[in-house]
Amino acid sequence: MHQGYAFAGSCFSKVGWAVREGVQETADLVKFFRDEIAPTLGTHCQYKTILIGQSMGALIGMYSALASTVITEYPYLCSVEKHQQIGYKASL
Amino acid sequence: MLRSPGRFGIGFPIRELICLLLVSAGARKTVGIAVLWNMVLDAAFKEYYSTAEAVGGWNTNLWGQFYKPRAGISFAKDVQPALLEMIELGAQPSTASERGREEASDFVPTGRLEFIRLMINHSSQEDFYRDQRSFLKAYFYSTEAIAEIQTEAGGNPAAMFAEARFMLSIEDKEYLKREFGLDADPFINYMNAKLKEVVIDDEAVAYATKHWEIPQPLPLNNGVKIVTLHAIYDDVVPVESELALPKYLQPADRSASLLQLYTEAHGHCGITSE
Repeated sequence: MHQGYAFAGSCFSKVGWAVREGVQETADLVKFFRDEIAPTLGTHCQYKTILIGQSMGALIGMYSALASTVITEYPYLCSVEKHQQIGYKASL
Repeated sequence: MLRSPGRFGIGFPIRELICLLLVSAGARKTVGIAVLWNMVLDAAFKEYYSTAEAVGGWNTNLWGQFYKPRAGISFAKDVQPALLEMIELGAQPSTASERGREEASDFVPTGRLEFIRLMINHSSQEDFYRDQRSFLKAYFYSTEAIAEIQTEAGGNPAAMFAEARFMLSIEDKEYLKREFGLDADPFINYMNAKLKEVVIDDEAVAYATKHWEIPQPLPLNNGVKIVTLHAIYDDVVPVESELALPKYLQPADRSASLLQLYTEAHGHCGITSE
């Protein structure tokens, strides 16, 4: 972490097909890191968040990249407050 | 690795966009593939389980019916061991140490597994058996994921099977008989008989279609840069879904971009470091 890199992952609150939960809880994880961990690294820290997922995880990453207006319009897809990732990688 | 000729990035007018799992021309095929996996697993292994809870709590015998796994079930801890135990009744997997791998062991081809591979038209035997990953992911998708989709849709949206009939070529049948002593006809006959029990719900088809045929491009957050990697011969999420991504994604501005990469690998997420 002192070299400027950190990796964070999480389980989801629901087992099995958990796209909605995955999007929300991944956003929570990013927020937790930025609020609780990153400040301890010093003021020089420049945030770049890369989401990596495969299969269902790629779908979660893809949804996470959508603007919040879409989430409102397509509640079937997932439900999440607007957040932003700088980039992500996915293997569908 | 192959690089997509259709690359989106700064300087390109991006008017089209995102394909998610349940949108695009590939969506129906994706759902259909999941149901097919479910059917062929049932046909190949039905004699090894008798109840819905037999395979670690996940029901292989869905056949287009509603199904919700019990709360708190773990695929890794509950389902996977039971599934592998069931498969080992007809297939002894080689050990990780024998293969010099730290990953899950490979499957060894058997008549039942080869029947599955041929029915789902997986053309690479090597990839199909490599470290079990492709198989386990397909099983996950054909049980839990398809159940969730059906629940969301309010019924079975796999309309593509309404007029389907399963078959194998004479050459494939002879191969199974010659190499493994397996008569595929009883399995195929079982599948065709059970196929009649699959109820296509018109409202579910309409619901699902409404969501996977998104009427307008979906906006990406500013600054998002997406890299996707998809196996051309994906037997769970067909590459058609990946190809449709540019049609459905619409970056808010030129700061967002999409780069699609493809591999010639077989299987779902069967992508290796090579």
